[in-house]
Amino acid sequence: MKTLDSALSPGMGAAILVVFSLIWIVFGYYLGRKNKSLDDYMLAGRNVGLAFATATAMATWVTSNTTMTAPQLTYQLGVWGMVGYSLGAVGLLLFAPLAKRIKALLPHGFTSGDFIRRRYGIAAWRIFLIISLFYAFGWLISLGMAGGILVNTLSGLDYHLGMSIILFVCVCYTLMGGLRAVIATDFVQTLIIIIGVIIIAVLVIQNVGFDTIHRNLKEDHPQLLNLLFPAAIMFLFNNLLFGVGEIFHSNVWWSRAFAFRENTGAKAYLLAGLCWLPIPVAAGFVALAAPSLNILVPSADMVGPLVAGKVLGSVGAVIVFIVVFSALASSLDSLLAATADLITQDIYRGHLKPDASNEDCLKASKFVILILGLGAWALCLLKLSTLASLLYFTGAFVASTIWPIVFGLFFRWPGKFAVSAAMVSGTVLGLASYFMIGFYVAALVSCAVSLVVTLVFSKFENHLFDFDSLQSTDKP
Amino acid sequence: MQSTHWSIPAGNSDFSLIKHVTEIFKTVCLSASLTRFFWLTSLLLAASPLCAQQIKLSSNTEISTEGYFVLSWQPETAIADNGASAKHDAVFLRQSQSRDFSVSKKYAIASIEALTLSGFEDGEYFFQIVSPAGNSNVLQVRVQHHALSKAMGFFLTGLLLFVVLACSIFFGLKQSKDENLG
Amino acid sequence: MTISLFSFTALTLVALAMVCLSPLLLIALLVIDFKRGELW
Repeated sequence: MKTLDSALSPGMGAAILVVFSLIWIVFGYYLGRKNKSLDDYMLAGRNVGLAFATATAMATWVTSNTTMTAPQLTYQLGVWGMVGYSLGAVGLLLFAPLAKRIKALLPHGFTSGDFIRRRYGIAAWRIFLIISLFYAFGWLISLGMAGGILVNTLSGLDYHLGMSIILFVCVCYTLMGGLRAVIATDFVQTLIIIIGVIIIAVLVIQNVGFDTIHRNLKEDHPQLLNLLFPAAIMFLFNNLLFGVGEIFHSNVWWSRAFAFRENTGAKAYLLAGLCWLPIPVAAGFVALAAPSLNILVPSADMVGPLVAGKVLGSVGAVIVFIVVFSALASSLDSLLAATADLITQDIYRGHLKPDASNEDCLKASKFVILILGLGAWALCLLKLSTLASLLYFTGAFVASTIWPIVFGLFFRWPGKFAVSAAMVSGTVLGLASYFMIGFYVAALVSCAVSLVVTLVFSKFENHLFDFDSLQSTDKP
Repeated sequence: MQSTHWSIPAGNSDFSLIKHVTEIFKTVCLSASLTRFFWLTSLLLAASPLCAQQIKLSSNTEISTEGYFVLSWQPETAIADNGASAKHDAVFLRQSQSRDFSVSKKYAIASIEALTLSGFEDGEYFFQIVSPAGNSNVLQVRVQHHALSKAMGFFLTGLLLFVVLACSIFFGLKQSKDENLG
Repeated sequence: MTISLFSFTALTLVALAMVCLSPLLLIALLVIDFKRGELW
């Protein structure tokens, strides 16, 4: 499907892919030489400084969503769409105090699963793992497919080729360099993404101007400027809670909390949140210029690249291509590393081989990254549309874990049974609301149900947890 | 079969790019099934060259509660071919709030195969493709936003949840600091 | 209730200004960390 007039030639697309692939792989190899222990590989030595910590938190949260979905939501839900989307930053901001607490409670921890198991026991741990792996694998596959499809749309290169190259490159440098490579590449990728977003935004303002955009929308698309747009109002807090759920439960963020130096985690997440906050607005508002630029939008998700192509010509397509490739890579690598940690620690060491040494785990971890990459590649190859639609539902899943995590980290009263019931019931009712009302309420309903269930059932359970038991290094 | 997925509202967007991927993904599936469709159509046409080809205009939803919807049309070739041979304004989609299109807005759709429109207020909207090869059916889409009271209910629930969350973290942090001091 | 041209412009420009500042902040942090030898 060809939707961009000013798309790149396949040769140009291939050239960009090859150059950036080489850069990331050489970078990963170079950084990987320092790794000696499991802590080095999985958690970058548990001593990451503020600059890298901030950049990696920010870059991982900027998946291709900020460059693509922000314009899409703005096009569909208007001003509240982009503002609501930027509220995703609240997840990062609120995780700041949690990161501090996590590092203090579990100085030797590896994963979010570690905490759930030791805090709530086996049953809750397994429910949590299902939610977590569902989310991680869904995200992984969606990124792989997005890679292939975007490369195809922007440059005409074959879907399978683009998808394979992007997955291969990310697996390669994550495998060689571990979390260190992930974090260092994230820094460079963040800068590329931000600069790309700025260029496009400035050019749109120059070419169209605010008054033209405003006048045009007011005449032909008035709801987009309406501050009382019902669906958009419902979306606002749903989106905030979805983001909070994603960040609070996912090992992508926990592994970073463990990896950052003492007293760095909170600052890094706070700064990353503040830096991320304006990006959806800057990236999203360009969608509102589409009617003024006489752009006809075939599907809402293409509005970003279409506007960029219109104001910048083929240079715009190059910028979008590089930005999207960077955004994809910065999330894919983090996800590969963090999911591999979760599987190594919680499935391999937790369920399969409890007496595994750190050396065993290091080997297993590399093996898991490879298997994850291969698995994702195989599923992306199939292009199953049903698989892709499953990913709609993750909001209901992840929002149900917010209270078990937050209450569990700070208070002694939440009970094992209560949080298990909360995660299950929140997910189920969240999914129900998704189908009965719309995507913009699923996380909200899930979160509300989970809160009520956690509070009520814990009251009945009446058990107080001893936080000191988390300090030891015991294995499952 | 895949093209039925296309009729899922194109706007359901999740926080991560999940939705977006699904969308593009569907587009790819759609283009695959469209290709098959055209192949079949051309076979049929070859068999019966006199068979008239009316353009079929459809939307992903009859009632939109978000003010956006996706219009698509089949067969695409009828439009694309005309677009290539004739001038761009020979084929267009017209939009009006009345069935007779007395006051209408035009979109030159020669180069695209679907159109996503957004930002509509409550009301009935009519669409029709006009082309030298013949006009399409008249498509009616109703926009009826959720009730503001319902939206506000969800908004306030969300706000409440957020406040509880922020307070839990704040007091939790304070309490844990006190414990460490004591 | 339509957002005014002024608010719309202000919202976008403030966001854009913040986005422009963030790379500078990141590079400044990197330089500081590097000088102190605290990158990793």
